[in-house]
Amino acid sequence: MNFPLLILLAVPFLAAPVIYPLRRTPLAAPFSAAVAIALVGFMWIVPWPVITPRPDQATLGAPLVLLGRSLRLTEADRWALSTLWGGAALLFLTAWPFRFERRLYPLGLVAGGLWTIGLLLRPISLGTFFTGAAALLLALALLGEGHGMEGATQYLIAASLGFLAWVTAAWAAEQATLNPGQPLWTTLTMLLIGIAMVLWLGVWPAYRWVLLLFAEGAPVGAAFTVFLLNCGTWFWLLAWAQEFPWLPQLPGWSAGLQAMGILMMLSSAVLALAERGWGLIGGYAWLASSGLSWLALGLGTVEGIHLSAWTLWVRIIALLGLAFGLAAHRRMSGSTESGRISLDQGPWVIALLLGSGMALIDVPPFASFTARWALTRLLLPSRPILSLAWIGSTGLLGWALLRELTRPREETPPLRPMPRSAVWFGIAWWTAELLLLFISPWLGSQLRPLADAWIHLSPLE
Amino acid sequence: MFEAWNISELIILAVVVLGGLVLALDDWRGMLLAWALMGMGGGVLLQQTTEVPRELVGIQILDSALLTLLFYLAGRRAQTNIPRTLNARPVIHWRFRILAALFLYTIARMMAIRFPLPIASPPLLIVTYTLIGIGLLIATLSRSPLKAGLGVLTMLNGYQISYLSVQDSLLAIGLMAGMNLLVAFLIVALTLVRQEVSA
Repeated sequence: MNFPLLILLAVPFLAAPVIYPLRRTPLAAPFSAAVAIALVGFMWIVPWPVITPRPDQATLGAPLVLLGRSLRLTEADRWALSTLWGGAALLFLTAWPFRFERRLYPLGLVAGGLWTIGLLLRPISLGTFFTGAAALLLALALLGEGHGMEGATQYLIAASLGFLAWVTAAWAAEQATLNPGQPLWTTLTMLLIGIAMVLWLGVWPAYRWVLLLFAEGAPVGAAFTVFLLNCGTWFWLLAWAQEFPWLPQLPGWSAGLQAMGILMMLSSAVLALAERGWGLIGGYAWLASSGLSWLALGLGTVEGIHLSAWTLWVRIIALLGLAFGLAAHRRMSGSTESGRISLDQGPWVIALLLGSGMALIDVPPFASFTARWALTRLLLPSRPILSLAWIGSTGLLGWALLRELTRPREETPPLRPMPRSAVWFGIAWWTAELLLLFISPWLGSQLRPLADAWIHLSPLE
Repeated sequence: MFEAWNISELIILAVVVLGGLVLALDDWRGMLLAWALMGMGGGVLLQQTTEVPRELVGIQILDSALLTLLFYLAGRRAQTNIPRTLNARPVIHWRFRILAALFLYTIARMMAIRFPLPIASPPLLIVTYTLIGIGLLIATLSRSPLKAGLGVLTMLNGYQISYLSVQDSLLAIGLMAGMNLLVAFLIVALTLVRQEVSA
């Protein structure tokens, strides 16, 4: 019995009932973050013996067998889970000053625990239920006090439809493995994975829930949800490709990922022009930034895959800033609409919103600019028009952000004072962004195992 | 085979009509009753057309009945605190919703015949496609979490009919039932949180 793996799987579920009664107290956030950090530390402290059940697969410790199904941890899984739990810890700490985020702590731990099981469980058709349950459960973490119902309901619809698509895709993939000569199953698998990703990642035309979450819901809960769904799906797709190695070899795979990435970036930029409000524009900026990861992954080259893995980490800091800025804006003015708080009334809040928005759309001097620059250099020789279009999309989103900043202040009810934590969070955030700029080469080299897992599976030229 | 097709045709029609009623009715109690009968009809259809064990069909029917009771209790609480939201009518008139249900049924029939799946039987596919379409329409048109949730569960019900007929792993069937319960719990929680907010 692999006890360390059992502990890793059980701790989130054991910690959640302890944190639930504490959720209204200031203890909940640091406690949840400590649990998440402890999980990351545990994964790296335990001296896992490397076991090779198959020549092409090495696991950390023996697979854990529960109800006749095996759960196994690989090197790529360890990186994936470290990213997920590390990001979760940072988001728990971000939610600390805000009372309306109190549901996030226990639900975030349970959702993270379910996603961990889903990622490690084989066959993948059963893992789908756990990732689906994690995605659905987060609907409750999206509600603030007196707001967020519309977004949570729309999210519930998208998450349940996406779950059905994943379950059917897993079934179709199993049929494809059993009946190798029938193209129906491979086509069906590809189509359903595409539908599931469109729904879970908020790709146009199923994008509206992402915006509503940021604009109306609890912002840190929303950030947790999009973070888990985006990064989690990246790792989840890797698990699919490992389970069904024929998937990345299909002709539509690369094109589908690229189309999705391009659609996310370009549609967000165009649609953002028609919207107003920090929450909505922040949502579009997130969609555009996550589109870059999928486009880079879809390129199927070594550089593209490395770039895609790197953007997963570099986005977390920007997302934290956006979530905190929106939550502070909501606490001061009761909403995330623009024109409510001027720069002199909440300088740190507005600076965070602007800075994180710029970091998400990859404007210099933020570290994420290097990702956009590298991808532009990759794309420019082969697809110059597309490269120009997506440089233009940055301009459109930047303009939308600038418009929010310059919008004159409206006559609104009196504001609550700026949260004192905004100053400390702001200093920490800007320092982290600066540090990110300097340590980005080191970060890129750390993520090599994740990228290598994809590279082994992709049909590289 | 021919007789089985006729019996299942009748049950298909009943399930689809009940699904159409869930879409067309404005009163949440009527919707709930139609939804409960539709869930039970789905169980009977499953028994008629596939080799699914009788116990599983029984569990499916019992599940529908219990969830209906749960929703009724949640709806009653919501009725006293937020009647306006619960009774809000969709923007589209019921006649058009009936037309939409008929349209979805026709498309489902065409899809089941034009694109058959080798494992699932056509009658089950027709019900699955129709209920997923109707459920999606209910979920997107409704303004209250309870009604939107009934739409989501209608989709899940439709899906389950096909899933149970092709899936032979008891663990997978149990997990699917668990997901159904999770969605039901989330809907009730969203409804009650809304009450907490308005109170």
